[in-house]
Amino acid sequence: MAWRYGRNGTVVWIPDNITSASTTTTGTGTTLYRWVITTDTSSATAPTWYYPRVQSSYCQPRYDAVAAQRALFERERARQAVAFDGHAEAASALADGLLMEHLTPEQRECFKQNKWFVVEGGKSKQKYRICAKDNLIANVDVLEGDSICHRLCAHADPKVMPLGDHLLAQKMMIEYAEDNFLRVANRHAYHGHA
Amino acid sequence: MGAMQVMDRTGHTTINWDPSNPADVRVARDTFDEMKAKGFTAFRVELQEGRGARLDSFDPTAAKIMLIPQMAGG
Repeated sequence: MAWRYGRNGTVVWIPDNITSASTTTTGTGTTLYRWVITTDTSSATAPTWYYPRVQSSYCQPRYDAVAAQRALFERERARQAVAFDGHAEAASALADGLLMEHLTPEQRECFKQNKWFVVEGGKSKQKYRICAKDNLIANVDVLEGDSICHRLCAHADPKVMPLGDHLLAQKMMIEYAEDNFLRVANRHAYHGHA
Repeated sequence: MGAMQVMDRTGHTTINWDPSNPADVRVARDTFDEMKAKGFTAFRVELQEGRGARLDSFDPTAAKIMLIPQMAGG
């Protein structure tokens, strides 16, 4: 793991196994290591820093965006699963029927086969793919040809209505009130995971 | 005959009205206004033509109105 430490706006990655250092001990017993940065041009001579060889407020591990997004999605997935399980089967069936009623024949066929359907933005004519996973987490893909540019997440409270109603609501917002949908939707990078 | 479908926990609730019956229209309008006040978004939908538009006030001549709860980013 590499640690980051910066001074004067310079950010450098410090190898964890740095050995070329002399040591000194503070009055509180903390061991500090001294090392030299030769890439810092902020002063005429190569500067030196003292830094503790344990994690401190100055140092932080490299941020893993993909892992962080996956963890966020997992937490939200668990929360929504509880909400959607609470809906009666009859209500879910009614919502699914209403959704089918509002899809075109092509969308209906695609939905039956793939569990997603493509809609076109009413204003921008941008293609969006609405995915019927068992949750609503970033389930709207913004398409560029066959590839996904990024994902959008905007929905009502899962406890309020069954999943089919949510999908229909997203379709209607995108087709008839696209600006409003884009204004409230959170945008998530597409990292390739579900 | 107009139909207004409000999305809710039961799937949806349907309110029908006869445009020529003032009592029907009043009930439908009151429901519309109540849902709008709660933050619902209303759309007039023409399924046959594949068209729709957002509605800010009740239109008794609309064949079908959909009311969806407020959305937020997730």
